[in-house]
Amino acid sequence: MTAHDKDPFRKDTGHEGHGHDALAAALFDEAPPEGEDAGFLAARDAALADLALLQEQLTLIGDTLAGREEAAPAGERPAEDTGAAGPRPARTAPATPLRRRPRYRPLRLAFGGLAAAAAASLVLGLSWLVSQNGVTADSADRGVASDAKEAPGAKEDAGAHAFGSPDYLACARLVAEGVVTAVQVVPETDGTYRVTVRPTRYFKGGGPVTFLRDAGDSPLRPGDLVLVGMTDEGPYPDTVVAGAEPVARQRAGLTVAVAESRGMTCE
Amino acid sequence: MRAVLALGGVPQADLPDGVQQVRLRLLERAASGREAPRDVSAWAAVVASNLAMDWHRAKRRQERLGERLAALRPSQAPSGEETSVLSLAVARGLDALPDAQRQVVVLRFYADLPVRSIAEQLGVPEGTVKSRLHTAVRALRARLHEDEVV
Repeated sequence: MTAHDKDPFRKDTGHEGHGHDALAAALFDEAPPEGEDAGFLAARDAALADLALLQEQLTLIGDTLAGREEAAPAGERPAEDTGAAGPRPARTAPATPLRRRPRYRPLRLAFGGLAAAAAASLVLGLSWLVSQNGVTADSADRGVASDAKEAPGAKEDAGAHAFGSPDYLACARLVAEGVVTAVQVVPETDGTYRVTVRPTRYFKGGGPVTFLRDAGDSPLRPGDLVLVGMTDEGPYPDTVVAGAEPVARQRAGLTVAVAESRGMTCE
Repeated sequence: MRAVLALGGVPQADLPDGVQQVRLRLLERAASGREAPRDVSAWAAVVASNLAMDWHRAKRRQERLGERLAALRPSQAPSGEETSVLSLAVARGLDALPDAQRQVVVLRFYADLPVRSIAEQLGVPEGTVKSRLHTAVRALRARLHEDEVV
């Protein structure tokens, strides 16, 4: 007997195997054809429940096998890991099927992740993947206008603001690349100026990209290509990288970090 | 990426190498002058799943997820006896799937990628992805019901 033959819904309901079946309706979010009876709908609902269970179990198994303690539920976590990466809190199971699963990882993990990335890239001779304190490895380049303002609650982790860190991406409200369109001095300030950027690509968040810079920061000019990261609702960015080459270099690490941060949330 | 690699059968000790391989693939892509992937998350998940398949083809063996899960310390395994039994059943069900079917199951249900995206990234028709998913999930459901864990 094949697995196909064993399918309980195929045997019990007869709603599978004829082009439009209940499992396919659940799997591919297909609307049931008109005239389908309650049996079909019940079979589809049962399939949806099984899919939710499958997703939950894959999440648990994947995280467990990947060596993440977060697979254990809250209250039953292993003792805190004192290693560089620190403990990872539990990830909750999905409340509804086929929705994004929340992942909880504290910002303070970012330093460990960054250190690991830096070590790995050193081995590979690719240290430019990782920026340090928001300054790219090639900070002598004119194009680099990078600063690292500490985000509230994460002052011990200035290095965590590097774009190569998935933890930073998880906590950032906006990471965008774009072209500076305006630089305006803010009246009645000590040289503070407002920078307006026409975004060309959002790595995180969306909406208008406008931020403040202080007189002591590296100047920006209209036409500069910039990469901006902001974690809080304040007007100052955490990190700004300017210039086509520096931005391109950051982009490589950033795109990987975006992938790694997928599904993560910031606590 | 680590979990996608692990679900694809890459042992824990090799996961860091796998993650670095994904990074290198992206760097190679950038160095070759090609544009960054439109959906980097989908791209990375698919590259990781392909690496997992390549890994156990090269090693001529694959990590049995069920065995590895069962061997974990209780504190590391999904908690609760009932949950553990279910997890083991799902893991063994994954072990029993052909590589191509397991890949789409992991990409759909762990990486949460839509069918269209999986098809684009794998370079196969959507119908192929749907067919693999349907066959795989039907087999997994049959196994779970047969084992009476659901």
